[in-house]
Amino acid sequence: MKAIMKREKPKETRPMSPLRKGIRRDWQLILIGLPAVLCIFIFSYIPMGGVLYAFQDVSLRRTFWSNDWVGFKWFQQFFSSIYAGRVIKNTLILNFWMLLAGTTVEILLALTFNEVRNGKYKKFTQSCTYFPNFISTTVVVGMMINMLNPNTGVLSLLFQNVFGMEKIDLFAEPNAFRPMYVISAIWQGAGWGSIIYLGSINSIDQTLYEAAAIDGAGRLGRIRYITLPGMKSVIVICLIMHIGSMMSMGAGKILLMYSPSTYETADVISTFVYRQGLSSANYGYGAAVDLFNSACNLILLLVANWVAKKVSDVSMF
Amino acid sequence: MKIKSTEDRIVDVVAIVLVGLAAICCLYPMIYCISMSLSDDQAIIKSSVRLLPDGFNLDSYKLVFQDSDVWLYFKNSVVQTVLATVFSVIGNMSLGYVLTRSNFVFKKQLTTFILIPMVFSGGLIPTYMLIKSLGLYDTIWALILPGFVSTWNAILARTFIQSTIPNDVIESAVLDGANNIQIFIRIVLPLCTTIIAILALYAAVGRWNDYFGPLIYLPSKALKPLQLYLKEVLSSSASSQALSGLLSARDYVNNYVNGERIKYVLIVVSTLPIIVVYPFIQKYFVKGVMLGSVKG
Repeated sequence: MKAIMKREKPKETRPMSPLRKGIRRDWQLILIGLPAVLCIFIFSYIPMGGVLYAFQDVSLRRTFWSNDWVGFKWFQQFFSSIYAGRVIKNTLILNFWMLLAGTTVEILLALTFNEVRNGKYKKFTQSCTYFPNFISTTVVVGMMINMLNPNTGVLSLLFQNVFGMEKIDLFAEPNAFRPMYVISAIWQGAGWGSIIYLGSINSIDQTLYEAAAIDGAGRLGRIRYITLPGMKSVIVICLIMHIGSMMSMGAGKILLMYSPSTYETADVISTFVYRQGLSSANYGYGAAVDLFNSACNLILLLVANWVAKKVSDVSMF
Repeated sequence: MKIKSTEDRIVDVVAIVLVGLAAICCLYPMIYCISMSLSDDQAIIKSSVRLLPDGFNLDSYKLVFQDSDVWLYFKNSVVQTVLATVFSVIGNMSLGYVLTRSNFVFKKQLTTFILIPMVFSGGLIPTYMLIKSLGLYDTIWALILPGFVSTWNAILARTFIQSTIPNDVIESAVLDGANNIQIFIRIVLPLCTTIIAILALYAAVGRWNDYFGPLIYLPSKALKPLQLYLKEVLSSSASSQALSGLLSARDYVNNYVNGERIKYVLIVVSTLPIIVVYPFIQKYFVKGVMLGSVKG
């Protein structure tokens, strides 16, 4: 920056373009922002160019520039395999349940918290429900593996002794994967997720409640006719944003939970990319599936954003 | 004057009971793990622990804390967490500050520049190839540098700075001859300790809890963080191998008991830092969420 400044000095008598003037005035701001911009460029923009790996026969011994180009080979391989349908279906179904069950529980929890009158008790129970959000995925899955162990796990024993469940290893059972994933996610995230809904409840005009009480609405009536409608816009936005990310799902937790015996229901796009792309070093193939996923995400997000703008004037960008 | 109707009373009771149940459900697994980690051998063999420790035994804690590898992983976790926190605060605060300056010459370009990565990402494989070709693979910088800025957090910082520091303050500082670097360091940072705390906590908890990044980028044992080790111990297939350093091969029963209990000990040890600070930091996190929901 300094070099530019020096070069500009002699020209000061001539009128400067607004851009130059701006740069001259804001060079310190540019300096402050530069590391961040560089970081975004390197770690977000260069990988965007890296999607071209999807069209290459990638080898770690060669560079991006010397890899052979293979056209749509990896895409054809993916879409003609049995995996394409399976992982896309699993991703969508899992996201759907997360969306439906997760959001419902979060809203119900927020409504219930709002009805608790004792401030200290409310605060304490809220703190308890936020807590699981700060536990690592590794620990959560570790707890599940131990507590659901068919021979020694405290929850398995409870299910077997009280509810008469058969003695089975839930982690080897394809049908058990989705409920386990969703329930544990709710356990971990519902309290935390309820904060945003509680915030929207708090911003509802209190006089509405008083008016409704005078009109003879009971507690339930007020929930039904004032609280819920007051939360509507936040609920709609959250739903739309969730739908915008329907095709994305981090691999982290599933990698810990699944095994070949549950791939049938547990294998999603991101875990497939991880397994094919990184574990089996099939980089081009992985990049192709990755690119397909990113493209789906982009489309979903733009559509969701557009819908959000239509329904409520609130959007991400 | 208010008279509580029957409906009122029922709603009150139901709400109190429900949130109480929710709180118990959320705490129980952690309490159970702590109890298991402290129970004696008989309790482990008979799986008799329900809520509180059955008997008392610290053998597994001793085994874990005597193991130099575990200390290495713990140290790695601490180093990576501290570095990630410092970097993330610097990066997000500086970008956040630049974003608040409404007359910044590149404001429009900058906004577009940071929005695009929010909708489209290159994905796992291109990022992995980039890290490899930059020579960051198997160094902790593979985890720290990409976390320098996250768009969401930078926008969070911007929202906070905008709402705490009136534009007049900054403008009058400019009139007094302060330059942008001075304003940022002398005015913005001291007034924004709340958001700095929020950003630091996000970064710290995120890095401490992450195992996926280390799994991909840190293959060597010398850099392994606690969470990755925990992953190896807890996944049943590799568990005996991961634990072999901790257990002696002499006594089968003893090994079984300690092997089981060590899993709980490691769960407790790796979560302990969070349990300890949680009561104090919780309000900052809640503030962060509320701030983010105001609108990014």
